This record gives sequence, structure tokens and C-alpha cells, in this order.
Amino acid sequence: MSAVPVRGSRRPDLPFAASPAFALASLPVLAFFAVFIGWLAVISVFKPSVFAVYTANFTLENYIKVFTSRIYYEALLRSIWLSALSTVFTVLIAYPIAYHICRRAGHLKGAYIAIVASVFLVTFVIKIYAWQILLERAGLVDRLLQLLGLTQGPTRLIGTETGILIGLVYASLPYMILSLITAVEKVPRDVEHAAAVSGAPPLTVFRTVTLPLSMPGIVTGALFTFALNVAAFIVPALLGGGTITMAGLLIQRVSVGVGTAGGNWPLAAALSVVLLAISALFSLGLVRVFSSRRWRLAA
Amino acid sequence: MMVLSRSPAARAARILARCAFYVGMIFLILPVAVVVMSSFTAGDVVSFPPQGWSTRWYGIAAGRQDFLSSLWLTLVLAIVVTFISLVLGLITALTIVRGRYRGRGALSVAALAPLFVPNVVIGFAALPVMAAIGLLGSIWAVLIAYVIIVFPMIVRALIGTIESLNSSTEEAARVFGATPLRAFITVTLPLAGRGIFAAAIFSFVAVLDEAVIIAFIGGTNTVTFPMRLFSYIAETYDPVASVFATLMIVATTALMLVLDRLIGFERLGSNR
Repeated sequence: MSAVPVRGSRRPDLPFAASPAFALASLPVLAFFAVFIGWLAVISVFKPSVFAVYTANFTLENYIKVFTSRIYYEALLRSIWLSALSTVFTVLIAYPIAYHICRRAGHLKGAYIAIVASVFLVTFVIKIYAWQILLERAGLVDRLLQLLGLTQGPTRLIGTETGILIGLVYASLPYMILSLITAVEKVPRDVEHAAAVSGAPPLTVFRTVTLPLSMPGIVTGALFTFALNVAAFIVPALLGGGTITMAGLLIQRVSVGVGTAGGNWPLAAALSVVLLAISALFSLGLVRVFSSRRWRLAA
Repeated sequence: MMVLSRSPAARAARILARCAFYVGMIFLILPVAVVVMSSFTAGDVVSFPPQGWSTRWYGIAAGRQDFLSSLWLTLVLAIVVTFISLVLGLITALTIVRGRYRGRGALSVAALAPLFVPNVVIGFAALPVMAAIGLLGSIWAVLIAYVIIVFPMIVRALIGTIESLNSSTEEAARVFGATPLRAFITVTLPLAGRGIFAAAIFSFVAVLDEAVIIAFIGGTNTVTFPMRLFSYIAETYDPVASVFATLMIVATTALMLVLDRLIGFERLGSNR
């Protein structure tokens, strides 16, 4: 904003809240957040203690345990694998929906977006509760599978990786669709039209124009989906059947859970730090791959 | 209008894309519909399709004091967290968009940073700190953790809103002698009203959604509605959960209609 001369006044001619002093408003929030994460990193190298939760002695044994003890590294690998897989499935299911809403829905466009946004706003726990009902033995999915002859006897999908995967995909689907709608809307129709007039068949137009130009939406949606799912807690807790764990669930069990593993804050902290690092590495990698020249066609 | 090719491959692709759309929409809607229908079962357990229809579980649910008090707590929490985050977030977003000082870029990165940390990690990271300052299990611990989650969402939404405002009317008010604060309150704030209200609704819904953090720092006294629902459906299997889930679905759908009025979903992202 340009400076405004104010008649006969000694007031600084800045708009409201332009001064750096207003940045202090964010201080309480940022300070708490910084202390949370900083202290997390610190206690991850403390010694676990049975009597005082932790003792302030430096050790790397928590990190070593995360990478060598089977229960922990298996949960981490499963988290990475399932969230990567769910990201792919989410994009594959979301893209046709977003494309149809933007390009083919006509006067139904607003109604479809409202439906997607409604599902987006439904509480996470309720979305997973729905899949608990659907994936039960003799539930709708089980009956459907038997009807199609894909399974013989009654099966229960809760407690399987497939069940967890369905929950992960479903929970992130509305966000991905909304993110893709924004991206497809930004693809100029003139460019699509020009390609079509120049003789490109529709599939070529989609592959060479629409898809690459909507890539930012895919990246945003994928970043969110992966980050959300790699730390999933509710999905494995409700659909894992008590046998299949993921890193997020493990952090809760190790830190506040009861039993032999409960109350070990340093170990839970090391798990958290590793989870954060995985999430950050994945995001950086994704951004790097998709901002490479192959996808950056002339707009 | 796109030039539609009549080649068989193009037609097949179009039909396939249309099918993918309808199958995807069914996948999206069906689970929510199933929850709603399961609340009207006459049977004793949640099942789909329901065993006969009845509203008897609504009567039973009306007497569940544990759920009702959780619902009340969550609503109060959502209002307080939204109000605090909105005030702090609005000032922060304003100084990020309008300020011209060193460290402004760093501030915007820091303000949005919690968005990239999973809620499980924030919840657990809060545990040792809250224990150290003696707030563990109290409503204050929950309030602080929720503000940390909601604040960056509000800042992100408001940065967009403020950037899209035309600053010339506020400048005009200043030229005619209004103080910066007065010019902001009388001119810019009403113009940004819709964006602020939309951000508030998203924040409200985010608080209603949050079940993870409370598992770490809530203790046994502070149980929010999603946490109550979560522990209930993890252990029990009766339709009381479906009744409360249905109430939440109806409430969030109503909020969505308000949002639609405010921002107009059919114009979402449109640059024409």
C-alpha cells in the first residue's frame, strides 16, 4: 500500500497493523509451539526412566530402538507404505470427480461442490465410524464381495491393511477433490481449446495440457494426504482391529498407553521426530519432482 | 465448449470418465448416508442395512448425560478457541500482508509452521510441557493446544482475504482524517467480513473435528465430543453413537449451507 499523506498530522502514515509491533500478537502461539517441538527434540535423547518418566542423561538408544526394534520400524514402514498408497488412490479417485465437476457438470456444479464440502466438514471420527459399520463381517462391503463372487465365506475387513487403506483414502478424498477443483479451474480453457482446434484428440489435450497445468493442485492435495495419513491415529485405532499399528497410534500407546510399553516419553519423542523427518523429506521430494521442467509447460 | 471428438477411443474415454465420476461420488456419499440410516435402527446393535426402522435410539440418546456434557464442552471450547485465534490471527495476517519490515517473511513461515506438524505430534509434544507447568488434564492445556492448531489455519485463510481487498477505500478514509484504527474498523473490516466469518466457521469445525490431542493432554475430566465418540465406538457397538453422529452430520451440513451463502461454492477458484 502506498504511503498516504495525512493533512497536518504527526501520525505515521501507515495503514492499520502494518507496524512490526503487531507481530507480537502471534508471540504467545509461536512461543508455545516452539517450546513444544524444541522440548520434544530434547527429551528424545534422554534416558527413559521407570520412576520419573525420563532422566536427563544423553543417549541415542531411543533412536536405535526405533530403527532396530521390529514393532517400531514395522509401524513406521507401514505408515510410509500405506500413506503413499493412499495418496495415489486418492488422486486416482479424486481427479475424475474434480474434472467432471469443473468441465462437465453444468448447472449441477454448485450442488456437487456443496456435497463434497459437506462430506469434507463431517467430523473425522464419524467418517471412520462409517467404515467400521461398512467393513464389519456381514456388513455391506462383505455382502457385496460375496455377491460378486470375489470372496467365498464371510470376511471381516477390519484388522486388515486393506481396511485401513480404505479409511485413509476416504478421509482425505474431499480435501483432494477441493484442491483439484481449484487447480482445474485455473487451467485456461483457451489453451485446451487451442490444442483441440489444432487437431489434438481429447485424450491428448488432457494428457498434454489439462493434467500438467493442474499439477500444482495434485501436489498440494498429495502433500496434505501424505502428511495426514503418515501420522494417522484414529484410522488404525478403529480399523486396525487392535493388531495393525501405525506410527501415530504407536506414539500414543508408548507415551500415555498402559502396559509394558506405556509411559516412555523419550521413545515416543524419538518416534515423533522420525515421523516429522519422514514427512518433511517426502514433502521436499514431492515438491522437487513435480516442479521439475517436465511438468512446467508454458502456461 | 470443447471441441468434442467423435472417435471411438474418445467416446469410450468420456464414458469411462463419467462412470469414474459417479462411482467416486457414491464412494463419497454412501458412508455418511449409512451412518444416518444406522441411527434409525430398531435393532440393538449398529448394522447395515438396519434391522427395522425406529427412532427409539434418539430417546435413549437424549438421556446420555456423558455425551451431552461432552457436546456442551466442545461447543464452548470451539467458540473460545475460534475467538482467541481469530483476534490473534487477524492481527498477525494484517501485519504479514501490510508490513514492510525485516523478518516479515520469517513471521509468515513461523505462523504457518504448525500446519505441517501432524496433530499426533503436537498432542504428544504438548504432554511433557503441560506436565511441567502443571496444566496437564486441565481445560487450559486443551485450549492452548487447540489455539496452536487453529491459529495457522486462520492466518492462512485471512492472508488470502486481506490480499484480495482493495486498499484504496481505507486510504480514502485516511485522507479525510480518520485514524488508522478507525479507518480499518469502519472500512476494511466490513469488507473482509465474509472472509473472516468463513475462516471462523472452518476453525469451529476444526475444533469439533479434533480427537487426537485430547487423548494426550485431556486427562479424564476434559473429554470433548469427538473423543467421547471415539472411545465409545472403540469399545461399544450400540446405535447411540449413530444418533450423535447423525446430529453432528446435520449440524455440519447446515454450517456448509451457510458457507455456501457466504462464498458461493460454484464460483470456487473460478478466474472468470
